[in-house]
Amino acid sequence: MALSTLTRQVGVAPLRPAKTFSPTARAWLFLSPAMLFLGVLIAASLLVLRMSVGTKGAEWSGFSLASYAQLLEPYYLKSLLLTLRLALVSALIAVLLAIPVGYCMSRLQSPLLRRVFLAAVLLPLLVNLLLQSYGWLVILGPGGMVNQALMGLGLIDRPVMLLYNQTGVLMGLVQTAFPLAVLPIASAMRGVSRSYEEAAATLGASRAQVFRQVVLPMSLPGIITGATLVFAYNASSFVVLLLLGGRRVPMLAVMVHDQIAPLMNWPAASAAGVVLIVTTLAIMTFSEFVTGRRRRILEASQ
Amino acid sequence: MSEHDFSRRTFIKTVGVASVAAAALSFPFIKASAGDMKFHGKTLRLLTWSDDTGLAALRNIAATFEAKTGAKVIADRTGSTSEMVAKLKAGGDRPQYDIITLAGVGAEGLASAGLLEKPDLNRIPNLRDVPAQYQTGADGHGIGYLLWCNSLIYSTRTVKEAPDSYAALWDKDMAPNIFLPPPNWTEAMDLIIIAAKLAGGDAHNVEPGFKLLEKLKDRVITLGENPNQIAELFRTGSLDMGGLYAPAFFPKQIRDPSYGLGATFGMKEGFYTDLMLSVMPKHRPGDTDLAYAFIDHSLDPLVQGKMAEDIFNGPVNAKAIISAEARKSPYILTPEQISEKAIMHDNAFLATVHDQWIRRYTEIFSS
Repeated sequence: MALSTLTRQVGVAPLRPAKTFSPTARAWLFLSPAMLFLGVLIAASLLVLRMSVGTKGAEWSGFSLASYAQLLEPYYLKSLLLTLRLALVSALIAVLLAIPVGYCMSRLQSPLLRRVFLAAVLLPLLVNLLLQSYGWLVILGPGGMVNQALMGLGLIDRPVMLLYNQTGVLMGLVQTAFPLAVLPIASAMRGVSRSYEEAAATLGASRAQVFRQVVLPMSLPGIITGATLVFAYNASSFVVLLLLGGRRVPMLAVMVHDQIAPLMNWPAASAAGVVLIVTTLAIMTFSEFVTGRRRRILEASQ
Repeated sequence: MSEHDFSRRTFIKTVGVASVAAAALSFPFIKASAGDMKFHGKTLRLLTWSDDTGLAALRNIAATFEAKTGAKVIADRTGSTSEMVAKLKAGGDRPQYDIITLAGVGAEGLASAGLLEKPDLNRIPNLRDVPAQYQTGADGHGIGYLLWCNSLIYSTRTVKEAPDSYAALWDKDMAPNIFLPPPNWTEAMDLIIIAAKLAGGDAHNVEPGFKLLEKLKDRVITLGENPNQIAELFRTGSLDMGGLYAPAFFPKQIRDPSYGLGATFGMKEGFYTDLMLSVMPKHRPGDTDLAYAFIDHSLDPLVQGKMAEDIFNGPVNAKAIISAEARKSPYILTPEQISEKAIMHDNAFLATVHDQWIRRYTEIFSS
């Protein structure tokens, strides 16, 4: 009796309602916000594609390939080549600068130091692009620190123009995209086990040899990824061109801008945009192919 | 507590009365009358520029219109004419704006897309004082409300006397470092025509002009897309001269001696102007009478004079009232100066050559 007051009979646990969604459906449901977002982006790209085969004044109803034919003229081809060249050179310079930084980051033991380093590298991504470009003006501009120093030393009478040309644009492109090169390289280098370096050192390799013959080849996928990201980012750069190029470096993004304002030629601007996207995607695909191949070789060797 | 409330209310009232009085003092030329208040409570939606000209339009046109009529002006400000065109096109058959103030090239684009209503000129009484060439644009779809006037800009530190001809741009001793307008601006098209004329050609024979422009390449520091940057280059002593460029870009810097910035309209060849227009979209949301009243107000002689004095835009109203003090300024254009020396470019002709000229100009000055 006493026991019955202390313990209470527990009824049969209610059955859970039958699962209404299969695991696959739930996975799709989980992905749906991201898919929706991507869908909007893809739709926008497709609209640009549609507009590129329209005609001026009849962007949605007309059909013509004239805008693409126009891009074959030397004026636009030169611009496309300049775009690819500056994007490529900036990617190479950014990667060369990022390799030692990435290596340092990957080998730092102190978590605090690693965070400080990461924050310093990420700074260009955190600071507004416009402000960064103005930063360059403060340093290299006609009234900037370098010119002030040179004039203060009596080496020049009037400011030297370090900006408003391709060199100025290149510096801006490298600086603004630098974190995109450092992060994948540091990540790849962190993945290279120290035991390989130790083994190479034990076998008599110098530190330079270890870096050149062990760390670099094993980090190659990260290096290529970094270069690809910088290339893609800089191929469509616009703000840096306007502020540091003084409108004298006619990369394709500027041509797109010119077609919209003041020419109001949306099909021509869209066609130039599509060509830029396709060219960048082609180069990224090639890079992904090379990276994938390299990764497979590395995995096989391990 | 009640005493505290009373004090606060009294304070708010006092501030309110003081603000209204201050506003009235700032706009002594506004004369409200009972008849003017028929638009009280109505709303007009305006799209204008985000730069100093747009701000001046809000101060001198929209605010005074509100004070005069009791209507409310809701202004949206955007960066450029092409953005305005894009906004209106995006609105399709349901535009958000009653009035848009923009450059002629944008108005022409909107008119050709069939998005604009052709205004009835009889409903704009102040137009009678506007010379015929400035009354309308974009095939009658826009009403001229100010002239964007381009000058030669120079450093008052290195150029001792204001240049009196565009040929000064080619004078290396006078101005070693120069800037020019960017290729996508109408100012660049005007510069091409000027160069052509200096070289013996004209707007329909510009090849000599392009050859003359090539001679400037080594001295061109930048093609000035950003007026603030240009002002900064003058301040730091990196530029001696440049143009065509409107002093309306630098109303603050020109008044600040630390920039050493001067501008002149005194070229013997005249100065180029671009007619800025007010347009009314079809199917606009607001009251039509109110839209006409606003356009008419923008042409009021007092308002026109205020705009000219405030940001160095040229008035289109031949009776614009410019104060005696302002008439002494080399940057503030009077209706008489406009009548004598203003050159208005032919937008319809430029539209046919714009693309080709932009290419040539870009190629010449590419680094």
